[in-house]
Amino acid sequence: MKNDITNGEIIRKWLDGELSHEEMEALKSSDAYDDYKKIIDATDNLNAPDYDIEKEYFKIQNLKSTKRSSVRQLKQWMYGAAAVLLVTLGYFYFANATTTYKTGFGEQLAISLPDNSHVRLNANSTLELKKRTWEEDRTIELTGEAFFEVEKGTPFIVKTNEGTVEVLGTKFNVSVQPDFFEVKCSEGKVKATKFGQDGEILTQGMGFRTTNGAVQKWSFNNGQPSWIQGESSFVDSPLTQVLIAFQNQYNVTFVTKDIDKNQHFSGSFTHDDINTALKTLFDAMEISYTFEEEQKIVLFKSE
Amino acid sequence: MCDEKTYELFFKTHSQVFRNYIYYKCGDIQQAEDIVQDTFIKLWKNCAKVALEKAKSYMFTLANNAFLNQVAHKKVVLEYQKTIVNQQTNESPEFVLEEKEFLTKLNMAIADLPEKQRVVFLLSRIDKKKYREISELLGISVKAVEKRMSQALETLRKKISHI
Repeated sequence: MKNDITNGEIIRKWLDGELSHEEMEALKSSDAYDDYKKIIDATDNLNAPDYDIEKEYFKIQNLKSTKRSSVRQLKQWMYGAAAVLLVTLGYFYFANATTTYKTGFGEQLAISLPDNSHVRLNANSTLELKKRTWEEDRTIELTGEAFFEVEKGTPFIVKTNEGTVEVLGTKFNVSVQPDFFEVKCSEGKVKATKFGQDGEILTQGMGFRTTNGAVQKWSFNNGQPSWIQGESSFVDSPLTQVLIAFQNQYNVTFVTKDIDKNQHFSGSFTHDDINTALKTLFDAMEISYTFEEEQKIVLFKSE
Repeated sequence: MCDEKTYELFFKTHSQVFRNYIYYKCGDIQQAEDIVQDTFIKLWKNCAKVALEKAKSYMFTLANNAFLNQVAHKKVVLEYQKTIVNQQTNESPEFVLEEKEFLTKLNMAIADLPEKQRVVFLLSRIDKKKYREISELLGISVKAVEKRMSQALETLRKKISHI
């Protein structure tokens, strides 16, 4: 019996799970079995040093190409062709390279453009432009909200998913969310065009907004939007947009129970303190709120 | 073998076991990876002469040749699976400690195994290779693998019960 276990065949069958019931019983009754089993089980917790196949293959690829180039000589003209191709590709690459600015929750970003125009990007927004060809083509792509102070020059165009704004030189604010497009002109004249609608000319102090296709126009006094000073303010805005603006500043989510999200709100909330902000916002609208989790707020009608 | 796709597949299927095999022999991870690189480059350069079904044994021959020139051997050190502590949270601390101690001892005992036994034992236990596969890799009979494996187990057992 004692010899059996050191018999290689038995061990092989054991490890490959091919032992018959009798053989297994015999193995178990032998002296060495417990020790063997302990060793075998323990090896399941041992590993060889890490191996990154992709990385290693990449190294091989590099080595392969260096070793080969000595064998296969390139024809002289190929160098020229390659150089021309590289230069052309490089030109297109740089000419088309876009610069992207992005803000996270509660962040703002001040951007100076090559022509000395200024953009202030509100929270959770993205702005894209081609710096290289900026002088000829002043086009910006925006998602979220931004305030623009534009130097006079060629047409300055803000493209969004909902519509475009075109100006020559002025100050204006653009806010865009799905099915929401809002332009406020602080100085000069702008042309706001909601996709599928006629363009709207706005002069100083005029606001223009489309919510799910419905158009709203109003006038306001202050020059800069208040969010630049750390306060989001609203004039007769749909509650949905107020909630989005709030979420962007404080990185929270709202769960609404029996609230009419299409009701309109006028007022403001601060970016400094979430509790004050919640209070000023919802007390006026007779909405109660509780924190369900740290970043999840439930809204319901006050009794 | 000169086909880029075939070569890549071959590399990705076999290079890890191959690397481990060399590591089990010499205990030097850097050396093992260098040898893997060298042999795979040689394979690419000679791709026209090596049929796919012969490629595996060709590689092992190349690697073994590389060894004839390199004598520096280090001890093989295996890594403990990082999840081991988590798996045993319901065990007593003493037990966990004992297990760790046992693994350390086992690791040392494996490093002290004769090379042939160690290679077979680790290919089977770490790379989970079947006896038949090991015999093909090393170019030895299944009987020889069986013998080395049971010798390895017996050596380990004696070492560990002695400590």
